[in-house]
Amino acid sequence: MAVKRSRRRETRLATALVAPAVLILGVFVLYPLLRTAWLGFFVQDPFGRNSRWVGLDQYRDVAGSDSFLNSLGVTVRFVVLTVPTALVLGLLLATLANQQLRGIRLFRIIFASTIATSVAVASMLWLVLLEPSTGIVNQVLEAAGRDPVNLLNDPDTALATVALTTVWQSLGLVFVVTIAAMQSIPEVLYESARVDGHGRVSRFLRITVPLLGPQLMFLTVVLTIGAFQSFGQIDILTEGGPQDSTNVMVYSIVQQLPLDRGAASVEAVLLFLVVGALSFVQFRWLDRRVHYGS
Amino acid sequence: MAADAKRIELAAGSKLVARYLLLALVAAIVLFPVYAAVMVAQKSLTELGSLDVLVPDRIDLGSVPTALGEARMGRYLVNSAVVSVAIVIGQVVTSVLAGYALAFLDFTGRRALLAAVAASLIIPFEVTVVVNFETVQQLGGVDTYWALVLPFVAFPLGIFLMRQAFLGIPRDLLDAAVVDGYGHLGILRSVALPLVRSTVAALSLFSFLLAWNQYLWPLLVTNRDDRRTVQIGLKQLTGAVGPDLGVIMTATLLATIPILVLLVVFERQLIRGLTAGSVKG
Amino acid sequence: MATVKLAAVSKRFDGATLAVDDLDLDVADGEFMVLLGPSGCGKSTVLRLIAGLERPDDGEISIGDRVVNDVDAKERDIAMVFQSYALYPHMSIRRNIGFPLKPRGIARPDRDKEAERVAAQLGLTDVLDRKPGQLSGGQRQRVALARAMVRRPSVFLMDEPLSNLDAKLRIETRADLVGLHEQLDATVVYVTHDQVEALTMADRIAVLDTGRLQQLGTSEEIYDRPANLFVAGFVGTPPMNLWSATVVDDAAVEVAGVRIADASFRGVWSGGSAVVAGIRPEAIELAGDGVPGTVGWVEDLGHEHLIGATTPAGDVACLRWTERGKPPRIGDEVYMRPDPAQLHWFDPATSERIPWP
Repeated sequence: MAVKRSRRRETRLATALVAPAVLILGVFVLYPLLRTAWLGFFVQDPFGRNSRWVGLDQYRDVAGSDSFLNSLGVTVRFVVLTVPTALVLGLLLATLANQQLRGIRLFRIIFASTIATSVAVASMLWLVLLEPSTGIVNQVLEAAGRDPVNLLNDPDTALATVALTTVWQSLGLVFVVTIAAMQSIPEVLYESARVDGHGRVSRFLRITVPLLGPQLMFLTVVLTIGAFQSFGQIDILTEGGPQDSTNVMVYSIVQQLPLDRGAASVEAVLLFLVVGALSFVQFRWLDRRVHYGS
Repeated sequence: MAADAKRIELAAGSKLVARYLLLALVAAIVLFPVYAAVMVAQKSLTELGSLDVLVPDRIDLGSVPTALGEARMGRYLVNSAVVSVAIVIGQVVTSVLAGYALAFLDFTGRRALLAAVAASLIIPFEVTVVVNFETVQQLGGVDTYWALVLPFVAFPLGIFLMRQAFLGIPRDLLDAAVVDGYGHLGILRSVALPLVRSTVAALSLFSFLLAWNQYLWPLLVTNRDDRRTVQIGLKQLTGAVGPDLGVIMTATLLATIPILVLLVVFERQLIRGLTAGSVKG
Repeated sequence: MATVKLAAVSKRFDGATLAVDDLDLDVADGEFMVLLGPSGCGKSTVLRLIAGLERPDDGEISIGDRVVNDVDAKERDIAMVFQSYALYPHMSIRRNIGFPLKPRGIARPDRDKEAERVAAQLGLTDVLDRKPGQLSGGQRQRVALARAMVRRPSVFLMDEPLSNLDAKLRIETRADLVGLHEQLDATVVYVTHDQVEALTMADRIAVLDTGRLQQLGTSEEIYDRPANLFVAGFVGTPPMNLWSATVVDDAAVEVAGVRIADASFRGVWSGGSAVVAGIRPEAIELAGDGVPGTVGWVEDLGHEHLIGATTPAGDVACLRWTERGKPPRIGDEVYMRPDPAQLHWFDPATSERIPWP
């Protein structure tokens, strides 16, 4: 409102209105970030005593350590395994469900259903499916006369298996966002492309995908940030093993937390640099969309 | 001619059948883990060693009491509900108040605050977990409800969503309320808030989903069973009921039911909330 | 009731040009004052300044005998009708109308009673329990009016309240508003870009352009004696023809070499000076001689024809042709003879009206 009362009066009211949010964000978001960066300058013994200033040494040591490079590598591989897969599969589901058929709503509900699962729920479902002795997967393999597998216990397959459960859990989200956008694409665009002689695949690539650009961009960033923050599925399915093959960054931070606060802080700061940059991209994009969209 | 027409009709018919078959096949694949869980949940320990477990031969809710009682899912569900509702209320209140101030009030430090909220938006909780755990420990917050709730009571994305919603209110309506004699608090209560109801609903749903699905933080700050939330309670199940996969699956499905109900009731808000943006998976 | 007085009021929006520039305006008690001007002329800003929705950068605004520069909108004893009506979509009509009474500490039953009283006055009784979304445009407009009336304010501010109505309803409502003004005996400041509204409703009209007052006067004064080229060109449909003319000696004016008037500019204008001649379309006749023009367009309005022609100097001439028979056709050469008694003169350098005779 254009009324500019005395600024002091508005400042007093504004202070009261923003105080709760400022307090919480200050204590639980901004202060922790700064203190985490600060803690990275100190080393201490495993009992949390004898804190000693080491400057940037610890940052250098941790960033160059095998265990950090391993979790960074694992995390990046996890991102690469999950994000494109979830995007492509979700997009295919949406395409499949974007038909005018009797009863299509039922299929849409099924395709969207994994949105109701949490990371923990999805992980428990798959844990039981993959359970080595009585799990359904091995039952099927046995019935087919194949050897039983223990995918979560094999360093070569563990990460991909965790990724599979994550992709399954993300499908609902990708599906819901893309089908909503697909349905808002005017039918006339497809009709005109059809008149111009474009086939089904060509229409998909030349109309659907470009017009879904904003949504695909949004999903890419959200899924990527989510993958960098993965913790629950690792904790439930593999606990970082076997042989650290699934020890992603957040899992590593949590493991370090009681043992080596300084090192955990450094890893947290490094994680922030990666995720912060991605979030920044997303925020800028969202902001623009809110301003110029609709 | 008639034969041709019939052939075309047949071709169209078989094409339709093919479409449905494809949809059904894909649906079966997507749904399989949930289907298997529902089947396993109804079987006893002794039946698990064979593929017959997938046969829907009965409706057996026998493992529900075990899951709720022995496996303590009842307690976990109550904890999760208490914590999630408290977080939603807190987030909505702080987001509405701060969003209104950032949208309409002219005050010293406004730009700095906007920048600070934007900065908070890109700081993932996982990064602050080291120090937040320290804070909660020092304040004696381990195994308390407030430790589960308080860090999430302000939500940068919520503040921005509400600010954006307030800015979307036609300016004339707000001016009219000023002329009609209302101050900012009156306008917020009588005009602005009722007009952004749908955003509040979307935000509430979204923040409930995030709160209900939280894993890392509850895992860190709860040790006692009677404070655990449902998500981390799930992981403890193997310890509580041993290898009884039926009970574990029942418990897992129970953890999902509140969300399913919400999603069915608030489908529309869900889509709004999701497209408005999520940072945390 | 109250007077409204603006003294040397200026308003600048951050960095941009002046929206209101050194404006003096006196609205008498009980007067229906119309602020008329094209969009962006500052008229709505003036209204918002009076309402207290904006604060002036300079000058003084008084309502009654009180300077209100530092008085909040709610303390000013004014009510405002918005162009969009600004009805609260989530409230029933009853609550919408009663809404301004709430901050004044009036209890719900009394608010409802007052709302019902005003609604009855405006024929809204049947829709009291509906929401604004269920009402027609005309009904919404009346609800906005009712919400302003319910407080019995000393000044009504109206911002283009009729512009969202269709043509027929607009004419009816115009008459209703005039009747209501008489009945309420209220001071009204009414903003519009529609000169017909201004001419038909106003006690006095303030014509604004680029934030400045161009002319203040009654409808007759504005129409018959426009103060400058802007008012001359803005008021009247079709607008006044403005021809470049030359003073040939101190007693005659020529357009395109044709003498159109014997004017006495003695001592003010010497021979050879350029002036602008203003002629309303109804003051031009087609004749056998006169200012030549080429017909560019002809519009048949049924009871008359509007004819547009171009003079040799490139000025546009628009005239009404009300005779029976065949009107001129596009491309025809015509001769136009203005009525010397209905000519207006303007100084092309200052745009101001030249007092004459």
